[in-house]
Amino acid sequence: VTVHADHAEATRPRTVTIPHVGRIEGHGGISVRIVGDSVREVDMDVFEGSRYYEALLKGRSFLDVQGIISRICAICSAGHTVAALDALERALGIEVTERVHHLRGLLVLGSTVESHALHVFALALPDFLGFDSVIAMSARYPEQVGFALRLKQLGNHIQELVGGRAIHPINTLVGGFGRLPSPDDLRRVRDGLLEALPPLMGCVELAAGLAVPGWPERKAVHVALEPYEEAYRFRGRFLCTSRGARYPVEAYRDVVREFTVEHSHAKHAALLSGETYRVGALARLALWGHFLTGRGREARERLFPLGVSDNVLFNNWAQLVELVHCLERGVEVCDLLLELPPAEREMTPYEVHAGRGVGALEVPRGTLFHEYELDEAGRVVSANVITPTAQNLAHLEGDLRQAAERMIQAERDIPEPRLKLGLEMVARAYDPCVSCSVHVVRER
Amino acid sequence: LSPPVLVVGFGNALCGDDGAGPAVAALLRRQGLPRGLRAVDGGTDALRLLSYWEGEEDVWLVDALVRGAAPGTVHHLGRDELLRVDQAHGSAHELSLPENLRWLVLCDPRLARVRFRLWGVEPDRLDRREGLSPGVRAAVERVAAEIRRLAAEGGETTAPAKPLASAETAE
Repeated sequence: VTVHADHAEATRPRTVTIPHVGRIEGHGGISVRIVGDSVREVDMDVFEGSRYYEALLKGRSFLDVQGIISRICAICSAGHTVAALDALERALGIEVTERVHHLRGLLVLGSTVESHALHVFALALPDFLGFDSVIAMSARYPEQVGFALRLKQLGNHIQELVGGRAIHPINTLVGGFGRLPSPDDLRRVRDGLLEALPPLMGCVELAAGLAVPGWPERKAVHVALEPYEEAYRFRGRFLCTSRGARYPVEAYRDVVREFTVEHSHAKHAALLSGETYRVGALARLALWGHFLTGRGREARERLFPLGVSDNVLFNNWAQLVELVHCLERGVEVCDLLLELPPAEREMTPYEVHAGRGVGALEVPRGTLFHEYELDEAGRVVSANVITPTAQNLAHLEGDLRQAAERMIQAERDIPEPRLKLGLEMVARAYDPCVSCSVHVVRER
Repeated sequence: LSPPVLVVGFGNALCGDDGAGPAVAALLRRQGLPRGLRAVDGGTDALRLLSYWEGEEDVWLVDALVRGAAPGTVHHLGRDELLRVDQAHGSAHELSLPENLRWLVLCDPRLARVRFRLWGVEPDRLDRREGLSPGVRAAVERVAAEIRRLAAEGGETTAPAKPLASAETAE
């Protein structure tokens, strides 16, 4: 954690470095340079990794793509897997069965439970409750901290059941599944999801009583996939914006303009109009929150009584709403799967040929695109992966500017640690995944 | 027979020497495991430990550890020393290995009796590439040999395991 402060009298320039966000070996992460009461620059030296994917996948067989992509990040593994399979199946013209559709849906719900539980409880809530870590938070909120771990494990368990093993799933295949979960396994998952609902609603109450600072609030364009049916869903074939535009996902390159910026190793993204935009739970809630039902709807009304805010700090609460939704939807999907006749495996036969396909999915951090072009032998000729974090970086930059200026305007001599914590909260609210991060233990 | 031991190699095999942990697990499995010893690739999320922990009282962890020593140096940390490492975050949106262990130990009383220890391998390259640097590759062999020696005391050695898929042999 490094704070550089230069106390020259008149302007007092200072640089606040935000740790743990995009902090990659050899890169500087995010720093905000403030002169007087305005932000001079936001320097985002972040390696997001989009270009790395292509180098990693080019020339490989389409059958190897999933095994490689799932190793990029444990938390994002299921999302990458489903988006990659979607793209590859479209390239090969494969139509998956209803069972495979629901099993992949369950996998996505499990990964969203895991990811949101970790982010809301271990990374965001401690900031709002005044603790520096989830461990410190347990002194006053032991039940919530214990529940959060159980919830994350429930999300893991669902992924293990569908994916075939705890680490690096092997069961999810192009065209189908290797081994299907047994009805007893599905019933146990269903019970676990139902049991988690009451304590989760208790956490919604806890969050509803917390104040959310307004400094990063500014108008935002939200983008998310239109659900494939009239319900709150994480899959769809059209991309919608809060401006009312609607595009088929195949046209994503025309909608999402990627550009490189000097101070970053990541691709940034904007709409063709040049506007930056936001993807993720808050965007989904803004666009499709009216589709929520049951406890999910109750949670939305409790946490967003005045409607969905543009303030990114509310993304944490949007994730909490989605956690409730995932538990309820998970029960429904288990029921749908239990109604199907038992089977041991499920595969759609296919022939390998040249083709191109785009896969899109709403993952915990927002819309994820995978696109592959295959040659006649099924080798990857080109690959393009656009992660939600890459799409959010440019908008995050604007939010950081806004938050820093508002905090300084409200309190000219704001102490460095408080300013830094505020900016960290803004960056953390995006729940950024800097793909392919190293995970080493570091001793100071 | 040796008491049961679980060896977990943590790290990201797509990030150079961060793959040291999974490489140790893969090497142990290739060489054949002493009876009573299991070796798994733990990937990058230590909170998933409970998914594959089968009640072993000895859980031996291998991970890359940055202490500023020469690349390939192997550090040994006992349970208390490991749990005291002052690092909350691991990557942008994950907690660190010590923080994850603290959380697990805090919430699961069964882990109170587990003797954790860590073999920490000092990395050389942590950029996005597959494969280990020469010094770390040698360290992986030393760590595997040490673990086998410790675990095999009085135990038999089973036949070598079947070779793993290429993506799992991160050497």
